[in-house]
Amino acid sequence: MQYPEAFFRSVLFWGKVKQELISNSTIIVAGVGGLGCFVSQLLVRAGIGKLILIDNDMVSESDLNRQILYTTKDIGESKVKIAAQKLNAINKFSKVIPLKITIEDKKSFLKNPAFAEYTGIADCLDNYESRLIIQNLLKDEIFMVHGGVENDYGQLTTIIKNSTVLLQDIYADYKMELYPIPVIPQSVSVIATFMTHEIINNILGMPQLLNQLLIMELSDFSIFKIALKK
Amino acid sequence: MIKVKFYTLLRLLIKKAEVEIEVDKIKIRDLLRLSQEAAGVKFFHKLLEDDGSMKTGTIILLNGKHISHIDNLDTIARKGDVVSLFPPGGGG
Repeated sequence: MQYPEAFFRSVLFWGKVKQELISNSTIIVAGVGGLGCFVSQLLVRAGIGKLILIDNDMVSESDLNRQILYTTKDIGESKVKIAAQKLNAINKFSKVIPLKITIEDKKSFLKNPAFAEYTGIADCLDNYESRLIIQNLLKDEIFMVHGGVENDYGQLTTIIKNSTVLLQDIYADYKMELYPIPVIPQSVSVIATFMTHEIINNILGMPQLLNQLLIMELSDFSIFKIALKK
Repeated sequence: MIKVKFYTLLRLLIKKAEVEIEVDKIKIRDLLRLSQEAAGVKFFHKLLEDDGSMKTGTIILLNGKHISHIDNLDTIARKGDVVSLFPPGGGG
């Protein structure tokens, strides 16, 4: 397969075989907010085959500190619509499907033919109720890279139903205490970058965060891994 | 010896990554009390409600397993165990 010049530098690093695996993959990005904007953009720049963007929200001014696909002129517009436009402008290679639906609307989610086949899910959601819903929809062997961010720290892991701990094993009955959540652009971009790398690791069949929770704290540039158990 | 490790906001508050408690066997509830003494910084209010129950905004893992799935604060930690404490990032 002949790849666009846009991927030349990546192919120099990871080679044509890996580029082809990435270009044959479909990732559902659940939530196109802070994490979702970065993850989507990085995946398109990496040459992902297809992205399915899910979000029901509109762009608001308070999103602009961290949601890099949006600008002031997008305020009030549908996030998935604007995100798809911006992503399509990066390159024409990735097919981007914007779906303005809620995660809670499981029926429209499951009936949508876009979900017939996908390689994995990027959990870029902003609350645990929605995260549990999308995890429960996962097929047994499909990966979901889960990320969460707050203040200047965040965490991520890979969830695969039949082989790793699940979100409820890690978080139990965790409830978020603050809303809106305090968060800065730097922590969002780092966690999203790590998530994108782990998504690509999963696509290439070498996930690094199975039963491992990676915690990143920007305050003193610390990264930790905690081994997780069921 | 049991290691108690602090992450994210707790680590910033306590200004230590971990404390080591020299006991063979202890309930998490009592381990937290000893850890607070060892750390020299009060952090109970971040983990526990006034009535002593666990707050829902914090995670306590014993060897990578949430204590809610064992015996909550009555979970027994033993020599060699690692307890991890942190409020996770909830946003997306």
